[in-house]
This record gives sequence, C-alpha cells and structure tokens, in this order.
Amino acid sequence: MKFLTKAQQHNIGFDFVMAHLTPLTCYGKERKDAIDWYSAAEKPVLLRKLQQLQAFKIFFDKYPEDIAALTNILTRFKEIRGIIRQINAQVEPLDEVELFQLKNFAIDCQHLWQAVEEFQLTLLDHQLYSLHDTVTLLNPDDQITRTFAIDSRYATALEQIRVAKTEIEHQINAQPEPDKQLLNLHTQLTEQERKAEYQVCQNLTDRLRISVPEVANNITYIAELDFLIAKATLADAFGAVAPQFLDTDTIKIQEAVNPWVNDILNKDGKSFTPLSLSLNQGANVLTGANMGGKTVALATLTLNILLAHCGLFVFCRSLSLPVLDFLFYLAHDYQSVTAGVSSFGAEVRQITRMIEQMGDGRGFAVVDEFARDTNPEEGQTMVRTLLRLCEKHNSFCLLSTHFSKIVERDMQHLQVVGLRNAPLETLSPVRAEKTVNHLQEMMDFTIEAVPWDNPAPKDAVRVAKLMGLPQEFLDLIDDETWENAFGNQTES
Amino acid sequence: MANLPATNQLLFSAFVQRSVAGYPSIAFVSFEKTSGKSTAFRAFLHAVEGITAGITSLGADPANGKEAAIDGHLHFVKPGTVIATARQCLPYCEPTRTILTDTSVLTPLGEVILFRAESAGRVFLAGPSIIADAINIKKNLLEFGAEFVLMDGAGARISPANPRLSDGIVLCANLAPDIAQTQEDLQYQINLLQTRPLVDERLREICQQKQPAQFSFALVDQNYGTHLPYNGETISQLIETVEQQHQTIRAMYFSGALTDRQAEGLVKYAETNPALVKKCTLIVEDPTKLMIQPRAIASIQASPLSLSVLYPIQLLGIAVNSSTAGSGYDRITDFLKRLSTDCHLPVFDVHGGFFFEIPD
Repeated sequence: MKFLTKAQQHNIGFDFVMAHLTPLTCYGKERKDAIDWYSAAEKPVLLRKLQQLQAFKIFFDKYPEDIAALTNILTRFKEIRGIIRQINAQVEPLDEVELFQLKNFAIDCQHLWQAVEEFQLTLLDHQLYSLHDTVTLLNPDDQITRTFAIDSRYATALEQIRVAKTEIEHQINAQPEPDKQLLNLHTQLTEQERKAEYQVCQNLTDRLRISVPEVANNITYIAELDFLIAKATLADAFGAVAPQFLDTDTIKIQEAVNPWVNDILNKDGKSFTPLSLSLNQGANVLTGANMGGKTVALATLTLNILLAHCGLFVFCRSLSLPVLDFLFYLAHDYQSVTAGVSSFGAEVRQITRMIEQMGDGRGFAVVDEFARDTNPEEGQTMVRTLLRLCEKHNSFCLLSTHFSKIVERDMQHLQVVGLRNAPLETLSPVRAEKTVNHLQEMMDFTIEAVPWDNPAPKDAVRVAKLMGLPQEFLDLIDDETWENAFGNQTES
Repeated sequence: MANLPATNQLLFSAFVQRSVAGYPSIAFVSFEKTSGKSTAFRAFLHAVEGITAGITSLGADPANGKEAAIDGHLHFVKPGTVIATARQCLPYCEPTRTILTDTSVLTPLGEVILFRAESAGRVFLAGPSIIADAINIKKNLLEFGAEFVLMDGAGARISPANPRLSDGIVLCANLAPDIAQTQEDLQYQINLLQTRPLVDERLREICQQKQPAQFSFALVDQNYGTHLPYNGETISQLIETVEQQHQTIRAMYFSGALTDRQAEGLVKYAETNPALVKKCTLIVEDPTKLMIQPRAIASIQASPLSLSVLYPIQLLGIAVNSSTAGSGYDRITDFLKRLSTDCHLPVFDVHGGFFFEIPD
C-alpha cells in the first residue's frame, strides 16, 4: 500500500475490509494483494473499474443463480502459470501430471466460457477465449473426461510397445512361478514405453505452445472476474455503494460507517453512529470532547476515501469527491517512537513529508492531534501555522486538535457534539469504569459544522470530576477553569 | 507370500479376502521401525483377488528418493489398482497409467497424485503423514473406484491406527532373538490397541459433545454433571472444586493424549484421595491417544482407575517378522501359535511363511 503503513492499515479498519474481500482463485487472490491507490494519472482506469463494478453489482443482485454458477466454476481453477512458463522455456516437456492439470484448466475454461456466453457477461476489459482445441488435443476420446493418460493413439510406436508389454504380462501371469527372462523383458519394454511417452509429451508440449497466449489471457480474465465477484460480494455484505468522483472542491460523505469499529461495537451490543460531514479544500479543523470519537471519525473518513481510490465501493450512503493524488495519515501509532525518534520528532518528519506531497499534488491529509506532545504554547503555534499552510494548497486537510483559538476565519470548523447536550448532572461519581460507560452512552458522536470561532468544548474537568478525581485535586483548580466547566456552581 | 505352504497360503488368502470384505480400509502399523510393514502390506495386496484395490503409504520414508532404497518400497500391482503416491515417485512406477486427480495434499516428495494402473507393474509409494490428509486421500481412492484401501505405515507410528482413518489394522512386529521379550512387548501393544470401548452410553454422549473437546480434559461427576477447566485449573484443582459440591468423579475425559506422567499422577492422586476418586474411568478418543508405557498401565490396573476409549481399534491380525529372530524353526512356530491362541487373532509371518489362526 502506497500511503499507509501496515499498522495504519490495521488502525483505520482496512485490514478488516480486506479480510472480507475473498477471491476464490489464486489469480484473484494475487489481484487482491496488488490492490492499491489509483493516482490521479490513473483516473480513467479507476473510473472504468468502478463503472465495471457498478454494472456487475446490478448483475450480481439480479442473477444470484448465475453468480453461484460462476463461483462454482472459479473454485476449480488451480495455479498453472508454472506450466505455462515451462512450455515457453522449451527445455523440458510437460509431464503427465502437468498435462492433466492443463487439460483440467482448459475444461474449466470451456465451462466458464459457456457460462459467460450464456449469461451475456461482457463487463470486463479482457476477453475469455475458448480453449476447445486444447481440450481436444488432451482428450482424444469423444467423451470429455477429467482424467489424463498418455494415450496409445498419440504415437504408433507407443501403441506397439504397449501391445507387446501386455502380451508379456499375459505370459507372466500364465506361469506358475515368476519367469526371470519374461520379467526382464517386461522391464525393458517398460523402459521403452517411458521413452516413447516422453516423446509424446514433447510433441504435445510443442503443439500446446500455440495456445499459450490464449491461456495467459484467460488467466487474466479469471483473476479479474474473480476479483470483481469478490468486490461485489463485499459490497453486498456491507451495503456498500459506489463513490462518485466529481470535478469538485469538496469532499462530502453521508452516513459513513467504519465496518471494523461497527463490528467491535456490535459484539458489545452497541452500534456505530454514522458519520456525515463535508470538507472544503484547504484546512478543516475537528474539535470535540475527549472520548468523542474524533480518531474514529478520522479513520472512518480515511478508510472510505482509500477504498474509493482502490476502486472499491464505500461504506456510507454517499461519498462524492475529486480524484486525489495522495493520502496522508498521521495518527499516534508510535511506530516512529520505537524506531528511536521522539514522538514529536517523528511527527515533524511526517509533517515535512505531508508538506512536500501537498506541493506535488492534490490529496487528502489527516492529522490527528499534531504537536500534542510538545510545549502547548508552541504546539498551538505549530498547528495554527500548519493550517495556514494548508490553506495555500488545494489539498484537503482534516486536523483534529484540543488546542483552542487556532481556527481562522476562512477555515472550516467541525465539532463533535459530544457531551454538549448531555445531562451530566444526573451522573454522580461512581466507579471510574462505570462512569466511562455512562459517559459513552451520553456521548453524541455526531459531527457538525460550527462557526469558525466556536470555542473548543471544555469538558475535561467535568469528566474528570465525574470519574472520581480526588477533591484535594479539584480544590486547587483555578476559578476561571472551574467556571468554564460548571458555570456558577460552587466547588463541592 | 510366495513361500507359504499351500495350505497356509489358502488360509492366509481367505483371511485377507475376509478382512478386505469386512474392513474397507486397512492400515499396517507398528511400534518399531523396520518391522516388516511393507512386506505384510505386499502380501495382503498380492493375496486379494477379484476386487479393486486402492493403495497408499502413510508418510514418506526419509530414504525414499534414493535409488538404492527404492527397491524395498516397490509394490507389485495388478491392472485396475488405484494408487495414491507422491509426484516424485511417479518416475519409479512401472504401470501404464491414467492420472485420475491431483489432491493438493503435499508431502516432502511433492503433491499426492492418484492414478489407475492400466497394466501390471511395480509402484513406489509415498503418501501423507498427517492423518486428516490421509483421510482425504483414502476417500479419494474410494471415490475413484477402489473397493478397499490398504495403507502402508511408515516408521514407528501408531497414529495410522486412528479409527477415523482405518476400519481395521494389522499390527506388525519384529521377532527378537529373545522371544520372551517380544512376547511381553507384543502383549503390551495388543492390550493397548484393544483398550476396551466405553460402554456407558450417557458418558459417551457427554464426551462426544463439542464443549469437552475444546478443553484438554473434562471431569464427569456421579450425577453425570460435566466440569470443565474454564479458569485453567489443573485436574486436582478441579476435582477439589467438584468435591466442594459433594460429588465424586465418575470419569475423566482427555481430548488429546494421555501420557505416562498424567496417568501416574492420577493414580497417585486416586490412592491418596480415595473418597474423591472411586471407580473412575479415564477416557480418551481412541487407543492411539494412549501414550503410556506398560508400567503406567500396570499402576492404573492396580488402582481404582480404569481405561476406556470412545472409538476402539479393530485389530485384524498380527504380522511377525521372523527374519530378525535368529534360528530355530520350532521355537518360532511355537511362539506364533501361542501368540495366536493367547490373543485370539490370526498371526502370520511373511518371512517364514507361517500362518496361524485359531478357528472360532
């Protein structure tokens, strides 16, 4: 994956999605493993892939029996690219097992070809070729069978040796005791038979070389079809929709879900609050209460934008966006810290890369609480400066922060509703974990656009008090902070 | 068994025909290496008439693949025989053949391939060593026309005797110059393989449930209540928990192997806590899971504990390899006769050409 580390792919839920994208063939699996971000330069390919998926999804929904039939055929395909390489190498002929495997591949291609013709499936850029000649070559009988033998009809010499061999076997069987001379003759004939079989294999391999381009093409077709079915199945399982790529300066997402987080919540009897927001070109700032789901919101948006650029359907009601050149994701996975750099140092390195990328193209940059580990005064300045810089570029930057007074007039300010409307007075300090559960139940994870100068929520003291912070600590909180948190309520 | 006297040959053939008719899959197993498994296997295969054989080997001998070692592993097959062997063994197989299927089962000598012999000749066998793979290969052989399957064991492993794989087994053993020692060893092996099946149907149902199998062991109390080590308890800790509920232990089920150490520990525990463990049955899935030596068996027998299996093994006969026994025709025949009488099983010696079976 071009723009995300393995840890980031996991943390945004991409691994979860990939685990549910399950092609059946080795070719489809390889296609899946190569999945990556289509850059703006590859826009036509990306749009074409999405169109194909959209059209195929209609077919998928309408004709489930046809999909089952195709799936059934696909499960039979095995890896034969080594065989193709061997035919091309012209060093050793294929042996009987390889010829058996190629015959079965050709038979399955015929079945797939017939199904594709019957279902009038013309959704792929590649064409599936009939391998009728290959089947006929490897199946000299009228009736097609999946077994393979180096048939005597391939060579007169082979036929003659086998007739002689059978005759010797009859003579051996007719003897009461094994006759050494006959056994030796049998061994000699077996050796001759092997040599003649080798020659037949050589001839068959030479004759098969002509069909190699069609076989190779069919492998590509199988990979694409298998991958397409897997993508449609994934979309079907999660109710995913096609993203809309537009010439636009906004990214709009409606009712987005992170399937990974949703799965975790569902196991706990909870559900995911769908995310809807609109981002402008330039700087977008996300503020909100602790535990308000800012990081999950960033991951959810990043995941869906990534999936869209990989040619997959997205987990939301709608997503419209321009084709972007890059994805930048900075969150606290602490990988760089373990690599011997301080967390701030690692962030600076990453931000440098982000600025370079913004200079080279248009992308989507996510920055989760930049500079939170440094001196707050300087950190605030750094964040404000970064946002000003983003305003100068045509990329979409979404930055979450707890710093106040950093959003400027032309910037978009988004805020998690959080505990703004929660009846916190109904909560009394109890066991910390119980309070966390109650707070999470009261938390409104909705994100809404607020005026640029809307103050950042100040719930930290209230939440800390409810979670049982000692009175000795609370007594020392200055009056202004206390008033911000509790209004005129006296300290008690 | 070309050197069997004619009467013995007839008796042996009848025994083989009866075995393959009653037990569609037969494995040749041994507790020791080079005990004549392949020779006994070959004799069985040779004696079968008028019924299509499927053959494979359970494992690949490390010596396989070397020209010098191949001769000893070649088996002569008749036309129509269905063979499952590793791909690298095919060049050493003489019959004209039809490839029936590939299997995706891998061995050190390549993927297992099934073929049908269209002519007679010798074949070189190497097959899967994992029991689950072997079960699939056996099914494949039957699906592709074999009417019974013979499986040549490899090395000193009794896992192929697993009843999920084999309907019946032939136990193969070397006859040592010290015949008394062989007799003692064989008696232990036969007793182990013939460990009695569980007769308490209610207990059987409990052990067969999915949940006990998810734990390494389960306890069943007098009232058939199941106790599982949900919190990682040891057996003695769980017994004490059961005791607090005023229950004694009726049975202990081990979902994996029962080892010497476990068995001896339990005997000791039963002896020191007679109030908790009275007439308790130790249950394992099948005899191949009993990794216990004669000493442990003896101590179980002398204790309030007993051994049972959910799925018994059908021991069809004993193949003795007398080539290692030294001289003494009478000494050997006396032993074989006595063995057959004592264990009520057919006993044959391919090397010496003997076959003994005590009529019913």
